[in-house]
Amino acid sequence: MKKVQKVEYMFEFLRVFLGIVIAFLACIVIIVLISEESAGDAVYNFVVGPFMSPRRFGQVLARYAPYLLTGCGMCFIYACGRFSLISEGIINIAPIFALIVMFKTPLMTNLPQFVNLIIIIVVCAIAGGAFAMVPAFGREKLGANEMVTSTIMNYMCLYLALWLLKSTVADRGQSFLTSPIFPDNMRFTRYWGDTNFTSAIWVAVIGVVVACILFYRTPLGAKIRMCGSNLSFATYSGINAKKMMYLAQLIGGLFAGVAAAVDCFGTYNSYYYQILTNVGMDGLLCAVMARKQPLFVPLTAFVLAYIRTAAAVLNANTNIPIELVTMLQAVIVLFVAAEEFLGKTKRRVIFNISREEEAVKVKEAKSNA
Amino acid sequence: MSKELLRMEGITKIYGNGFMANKDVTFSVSEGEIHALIGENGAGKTTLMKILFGEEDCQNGKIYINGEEAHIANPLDAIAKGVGMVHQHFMQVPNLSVAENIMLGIEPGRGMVFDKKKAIQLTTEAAEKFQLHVDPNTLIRDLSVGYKQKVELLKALIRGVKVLILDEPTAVLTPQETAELFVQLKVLRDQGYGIIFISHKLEEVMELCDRCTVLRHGRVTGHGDIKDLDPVKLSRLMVERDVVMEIEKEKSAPADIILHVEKLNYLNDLGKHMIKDLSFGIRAGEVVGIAGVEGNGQTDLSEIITGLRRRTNGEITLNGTETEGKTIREIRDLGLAHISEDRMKYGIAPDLSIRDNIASIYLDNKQFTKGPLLNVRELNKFVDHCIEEFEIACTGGDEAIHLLSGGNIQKVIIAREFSSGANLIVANQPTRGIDVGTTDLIRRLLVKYTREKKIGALLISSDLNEILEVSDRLLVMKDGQIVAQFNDVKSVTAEQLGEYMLGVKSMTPEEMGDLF
Repeated sequence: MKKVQKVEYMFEFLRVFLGIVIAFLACIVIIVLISEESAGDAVYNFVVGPFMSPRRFGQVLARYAPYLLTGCGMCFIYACGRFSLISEGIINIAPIFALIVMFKTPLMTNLPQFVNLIIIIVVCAIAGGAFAMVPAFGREKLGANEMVTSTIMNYMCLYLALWLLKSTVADRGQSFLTSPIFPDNMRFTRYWGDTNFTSAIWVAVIGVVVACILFYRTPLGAKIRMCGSNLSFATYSGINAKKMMYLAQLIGGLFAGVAAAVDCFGTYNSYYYQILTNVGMDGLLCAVMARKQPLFVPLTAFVLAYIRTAAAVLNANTNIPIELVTMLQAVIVLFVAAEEFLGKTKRRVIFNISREEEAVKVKEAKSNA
Repeated sequence: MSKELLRMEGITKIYGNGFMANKDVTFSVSEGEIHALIGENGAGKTTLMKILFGEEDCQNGKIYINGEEAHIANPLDAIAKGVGMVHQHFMQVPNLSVAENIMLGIEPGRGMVFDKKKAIQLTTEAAEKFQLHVDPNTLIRDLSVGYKQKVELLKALIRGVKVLILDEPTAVLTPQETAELFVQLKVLRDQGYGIIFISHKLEEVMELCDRCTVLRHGRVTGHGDIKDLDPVKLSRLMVERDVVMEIEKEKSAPADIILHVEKLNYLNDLGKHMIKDLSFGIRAGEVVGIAGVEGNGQTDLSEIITGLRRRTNGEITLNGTETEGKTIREIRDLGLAHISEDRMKYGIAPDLSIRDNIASIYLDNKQFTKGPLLNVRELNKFVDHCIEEFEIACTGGDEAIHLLSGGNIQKVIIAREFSSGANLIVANQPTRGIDVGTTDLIRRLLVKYTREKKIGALLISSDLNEILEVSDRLLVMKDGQIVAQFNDVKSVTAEQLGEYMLGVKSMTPEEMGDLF
């Protein structure tokens, strides 16, 4: 038995690992094929580019923070068997409410940075949670598929955010639609000089810890996992499955809200989102790669942040377009999400183990006789 | 004698796990006859028919169709050779019309174009010919079960089959629909079709069929013309008690009433009256067994008592509290433990660890929580204790439960439910498909817990051995009603039980006495 479990773990790991490696190799092959200048340069830029300067590595970490949070949030939604993609829209809409508190009320003007950041995070989280409840309600009460609702709602969030921005706090002095520049006491502190790496990372780290405790160490987390693993079993055990579905999606929304705060008030100087950011979708990708285990999100989020930054570096330094990375992502998802990848080999290994064990048993039986 | 359409000779089937489902079975169907294939659950009826329909292969034996030896590779092959099957669960596409469903796979028309008019015309013609009146334009999802069955029959007939297999066709039908089906089957018989009718309802077999073959434990125990057989003989051929495993038990001393069911009624989604005015009770310190052929309302009863299903009306009180409108959590808190018949669907979450699977009903228990957190240390201790006490063969609480054998999975469920401190245990088929050792353990535990901890147990089982061995009081369920009660289980024979289960006899209320 023990051996079989080991084999299962090993193949689980191999699948993710090989998926990433194969995707990476595929990318390099394509870079070599399409780059007009020296291919070596391109590959070099892609592979080590993100580590070459504090600025670039700061960019990796700046992406890392929101990925950690949306990734953990998605783990909850995904683990309870729902597939709401609302995090994407929350990234756009949640900061607007914080902006309104920032610029339309005198509340935050003279408060210290730490307190202001807490206010920002709380406001964004509440907004995120509230918006996440819409597709949840549609699904649990009305039977509308949460994936469809949330995808449509993402666009609604985008335009609602722009409209709210335009009609409330937009900075008319700028040539494009944006908010006034965030005062220093209302944003995360930049580290390493002027890089995008900010104190927001600590919020993300705390978020991961909270997510892990919630997921593995509380009755709530256990119930959510049970609902996702086998709904009939959860019901039979006396778990209020509907409630868990709501709560899981609420938690996903809260985390996305915090991710929005971290991204908007960390990386940028003013509200910059004109289109959907993809941070929510990337969070889903992290969760899928981590096989809905928050414990593995730090790893998968880093891989993703690194690849994204590498693509940007490549885009800036060579003639290879950033869209290449989208393809790379697709390959990763394909391999990681494909449960049957390596499935045949896995079954063969397990089969061999059982046969050996059987043979040992027969032998023992014979020697006993 | 009329022409023989089909003959299966010396069929032996051994499954991958070594279970012998059919041994040297010989079986034949002639033109223009309805041949009943009867036997208890697990007697090998379905396996035999799956072999005939090409869904399973067999180790030994030959199949002759129209006197020629035939090798049936798969269901398509079977249909091509003239054998059709109507499954218990219909194979239909709900969003397509009747005509489209019937023509699925043999669509008329040229190339990629589906000739809908032709399909409707063909369907209407066939419906006329076989006197199965269906409207080709209705959508399947709008139809009643009886109607769907007609479509299924037509689907097989239009493909030109001569032998029709009907797998327990009446299990899902109301009495009126059953009567209608019988009329249609008789029409088909008169047109020269050979029909194989799988059932364990004797009265239907007596009414409809011409010949019958009885299976028990995969072997043919009898066959012959229906007119030479009577229900008593048939029930004896079907039901038998094999090797007895004795369980030592003291005489039960029933105390206070724990579960009280009064005039319970249940109509299922299809409108079939599954439980009719059922009343009985369970007292502390006794195991009440319910015997019966499957599908006579036992599962509905256990799921209603445990809260998985809503009753139509009637009263159920558990430890003095009415359970109507209560959630499963609340019913469990009143003192209920439940071992479900469907182990993989309700009993466990296969991907999660043994620990999570044991913890599932204890997550709100103060013993295992510390503020908002789980008390992991306490929980681990409890899980280790369960593993030890119930002898679960595993590497530890972290092992994923799907890696365990069926017997050990059941032990995990038993450990969880028996440790919950409940004083009523509803055990539905607790030992089905489980190794001898675990089976024995589960039976002994049921007896031990009722004696030592003064709990009541409801045991529903189709294993006669088990039900006769473990129960202190035995009820027989037939068509949603209790038709017999035995207070002295030791003196009951399998033959007697069989006669009540199969509806050959039933007790009057006076004979049954007090059911509480």
